[in-house]
Order: sequence, then structure tokens, then C-alpha cells
Amino acid sequence: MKKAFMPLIAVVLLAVIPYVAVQFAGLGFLFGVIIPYAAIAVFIGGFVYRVVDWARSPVPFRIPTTCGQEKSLDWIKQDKLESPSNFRQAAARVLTEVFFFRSLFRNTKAEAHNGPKLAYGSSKWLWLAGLAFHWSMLVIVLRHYRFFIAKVPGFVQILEGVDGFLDVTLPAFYLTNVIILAAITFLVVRRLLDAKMRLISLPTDYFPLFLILAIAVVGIFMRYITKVDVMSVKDLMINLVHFKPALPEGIGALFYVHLFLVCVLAIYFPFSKLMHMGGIFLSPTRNLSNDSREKRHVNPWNPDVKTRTYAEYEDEFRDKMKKANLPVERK
Amino acid sequence: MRRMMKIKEQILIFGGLALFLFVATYAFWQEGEAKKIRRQVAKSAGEECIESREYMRENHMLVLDEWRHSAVREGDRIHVTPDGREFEKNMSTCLGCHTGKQFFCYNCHQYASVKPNCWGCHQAQ
Ligand code: HEC
Ligand code: HEC
Ligand code: HEC
Repeated sequence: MKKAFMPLIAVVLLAVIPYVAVQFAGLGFLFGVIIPYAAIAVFIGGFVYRVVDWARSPVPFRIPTTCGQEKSLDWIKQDKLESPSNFRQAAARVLTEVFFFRSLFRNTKAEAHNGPKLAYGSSKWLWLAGLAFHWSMLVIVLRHYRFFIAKVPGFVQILEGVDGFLDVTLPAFYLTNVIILAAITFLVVRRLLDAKMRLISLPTDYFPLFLILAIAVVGIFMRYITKVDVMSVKDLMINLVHFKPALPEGIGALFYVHLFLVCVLAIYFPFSKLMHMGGIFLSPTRNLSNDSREKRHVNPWNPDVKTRTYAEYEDEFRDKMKKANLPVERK
Repeated sequence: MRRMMKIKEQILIFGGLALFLFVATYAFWQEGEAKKIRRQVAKSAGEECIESREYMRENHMLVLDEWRHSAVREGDRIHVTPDGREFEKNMSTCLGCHTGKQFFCYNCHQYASVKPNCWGCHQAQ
């Protein structure tokens, strides 16, 4: 339980810091300007560093984890997505994974029944919640562009329209707000309820969940309940992205909590499991084609070993072999 | 052959990275000024607003929502401000003081990218 409580306490502390600092110590400039700049720098720099690091790592062998029939004789049907044999199929495999989480769709659940009986059943909940969470997150992040761009781009307005299509409540109700809360809750509860999951879950599994949950809850609170001066918030953001930092007055402290937690997320991102955002594209077990029976892949740093083929051997000793009545391949 | 493969891989990876950088820094490339509407709007109205200005900036949609509910559902069509003035709970009440929706409501809403559909039915007069 400590593994879940420590991250929870960490997130609560992280949320309290900016509230106190802005409300009582007047540190608005630190939390509204300096930390956001630092966070975006660390996020982008760290992300690029990690990807370049991966790109430079050699991948000498084909190591895709396949789960389908590989390309073989013509009359054996190949499973093109599960065991891709060329670049196009491998790309399709990566992209369907990225967009639809196909590997989670295969998730199964083991149950021990009375007696020595073990049953496996398909379990799609993780897949569903994962998909719901990630897509909502994407929509929410893109929707936030409305705070950073003076003339809000069309795609953001389309997203807002689609997301708010239910057209209930003022301010408009967004579907993704509810979906993301439900999905994260499931993802947390999933780790807590099952003994096996509890055992393998680490604080680094809980921390990002709690952090994102806190960001979403504070955001929803700000939008629907405590309210915040959106115009000033946007002024602040526009000033930030044009490198003319200026802090408008009258933004509620809750906003700084939201912003600070996002900054923490951005700083934490490149150095944590969240880097799977870039990593999913670069994992050799997914993005390689399974063609090692078709093409020879030579390890580039193999030492230059002097070899001698049998043909060469026979050339040298053919006469002697014939005399000793040994069989030779060429006469 | 191997070198070709390598170059193709590098193009893919760094292409992807460039795409990420573009999306992550998209806002930084966009033109536009902060509006500071705070200073411009106030002059367009005569008396005090129905609540304090700070309150209205953050909560005017909740006020309208409450008006709509109490007027249509409960038949209570008169709003009494804390300082005793009375207003009819009506969209035109706002616009009576705030000249024209284009210059008041719309100005802010365009900046904040909110598109309340009220004007589809209520008249902007
Ligand atoms: C100071 C700028 C400002 C002015 C002036 C203003 N609004 Fe708003 N209004 C906003 C902001 C900002 C929001 C969005 C808040 C948010 O996104 O949470 C909003 C939201 C709304 C909403 C909720 C819409 C939704 O989809 O969330 C309604 C309705 C609304 N305003 C009505 C009006 C009317 C009517 C007027 C004119 C009488 C008006 N507002 C004037 C800034 C303003
Ligand atoms: C009696 C005239 C009057 C009425 C009626 C009125 N307002 Fe106001 N409103 C004002 C004045 C004057 C201000 C500027 C207040 C100030 O400067 O302190 C203002 C300010 C505002 C602001 C803040 C604008 C800014 O830039 O800070 C909003 C939003 C607003 N009103 C919305 C409304 C809405 C919505 C209604 C209808 C429900 C309404 N007002 C009704 C006179 C009025
Ligand atoms: C589908 C058309 C429609 C839309 C959209 C609409 N309204 Fe209305 N509204 C009405 C009708 C019809 C009434 C009832 C008028 C009556 O009973 O006198 C009404 C009544 C009201 C009233 C009560 C006072 C009055 O005018 O009678 C308020 C306040 C109000 N609406 C606010 C809003 C706001 C704010 C929005 C935008 C978020 C909005 N309405 C969107 C149709 C609409």
C-alpha cells in the first residue's frame, strides 16, 4: 500500500506548493513564468535526448515479437500484421498499435477455479480504458491550444464542437472530461484491486496516474465550479509563447496549481515510463519486419574473423584425399 | 545496402522527431497579441454591472444559466442586485447596457474560442 500512498502524498504536496506560494507568498511570477519556461525546455530537450539516444543504439538483429504465421511458402497464409515481412507491413503494425492498442486487445485474464483448474478468458477492459484514456488525453491537449494561439485554429474549434456536441450545461460540457476521469479511475483501481497487479505495481506506475488525475480534477474544478478569469489566463499564455512574459493580475491560485502540475508532468515525462510516447515507435520488438529467413542481417560490429570454406580446404588437400581414398566433392 | 537501410531509418526517426517538435512548439510560431480586453470594454456601459466586474468576468455564464432556469422554469423574471436595483432576467438586459454583442460578448468569446449558441434563438438587440 505504501507503493500507492507515497505517490499520492507526493501529488498532494505538489498541488499545495503553488497554492501556498501564490496565495500567500506572491510568487506568481515564479509559478506563472519561470517554471513553465523551464518545464517546456526540459520536456523538449529531454524528449529529443531520449529519442536521439535510442536512434543511436545499434539494432544488429531482427528481434520482433511476432504472434502470427510468418511469411513462408506461397500456400501458407501469412499473418501480415502479426508477423510483418517488409517495411510496409511493419509500419502498419506499429501504427495500428499506436492508434488502436492491438496488443492490449489480446489481454487475457487467468482465474483459478476450484480444484486444479486454471481458466483463461479474454479481458478487454484494460484495452478499453487505455484507449479511452489516451484518446481523451489527446483531444484535451489539442483543445488547450485555444489558450496558446491568439487566433484559435480551425481544428481546435472543430474538436471543441465535437467534444461538446451534447450541448448541455454552461460552460459547455465536454465528453472527454468525463471519459478521462472514468478511465484513469479504472486504471488506478485495476492496480489496487488485484493482488497480482498490486505486487507488480511500482510507485512510478501510480505517480503519473495520480498526477494526471489531479491535473484533470483541478482543471474541471476551475472550469465548472470555482471559475477562473479565462481572458487573463489566455493573456498570460500568449505572452509566454511570444517571449514577452507579463503576469496579468487576478488569476485565481487554483490556476497555478493546474499549471504547476502540468509543468511537473512535462519535466517528469522524458525521464519516466511516459516516454513510451516516443518509445512505441522505436521498440525493435515491434517495428522490425520478421524477415531473418529471407535476408541475412550481419551484425555490423562482428570482428573480422578469418574463415576458410570447405571448398578451399578441399582445393588444398584434394590430391592427398584422393590418395587416401577419401570422398571429395569435386573431382 | 546496409548503409542505405541506416539512412532510411534515420530519415524516419528524425522525421518523426521533427513532427513532434513542430506539434510541441506549434503555438510558438503563431502570430497574435494578447488582448488585454480588461481595459477596453468597461467604457461601453453606463451604470455598474449586476455584480462586481471580477465576478462577471468569471461567472457571467453561470448568471445567465441561473436566469434562464429561474425565469423559464420558476417564472421568477426579476433579478435584484445586491445593491437593490432590479433587472428583467433577459438577454436584452445585458445588451441594453453592453452595446451590441459584436463588440462586447463576441470580442471576448472569439479570443477565448467559446461559441455560445444563444444567438441562434435570442435576438442580438
Ligand atoms: C471579459 C470577456 C467576456 C465578455 C465581455 C463576455 N464573455 Fe461570455 N465568456 C467569456 C469566457 C472567457 C468564456 C469561457 C469560459 C470558459 O471557457 O470556461 C465565456 C463563456 C460564456 C458562455 C458559456 C459558453 C460555453 O460554451 O461555455 C456564455 C453563454 C457566455 N459567455 C455569454 C456571454 C454573453 C451573453 C456576453 C455578452 C453580454 C458575454 N458572455 C460577454 C468571456 C466573456
Ligand atoms: C446596468 C448596466 C449593465 C447590465 C444590465 C449588465 N452589465 Fe455587465 N457591465 C456593466 C458595466 C458598467 C461593466 C464594467 C464594470 C466595471 O468596470 O467595474 C460591466 C462588466 C461586465 C463584464 C466584465 C467585462 C470586462 O471586460 O471585465 C461582463 C462579462 C459583463 N458585464 C457581462 C454582463 C452580462 C452577461 C449581463 C447580463 C446578464 C450584464 N453584464 C448586464 C454594466 C451592465
Ligand atoms: C433553441 C433556441 C434557444 C437557444 C439556443 C437558447 N435559448 Fe434561451 N430561451 C429560448 C426560449 C424559447 C426561451 C423562453 C422564452 C420565454 O419563456 O419567454 C428562452 C428563455 C431564456 C431566458 C429567460 C428570459 C427570456 O428571455 O425569456 C434566458 C436568460 C435565456 N433564455 C438565456 C439563454 C442563453 C444564455 C442561451 C445560450 C447559452 C440560450 N438562452 C440559448 C430559446 C433558446
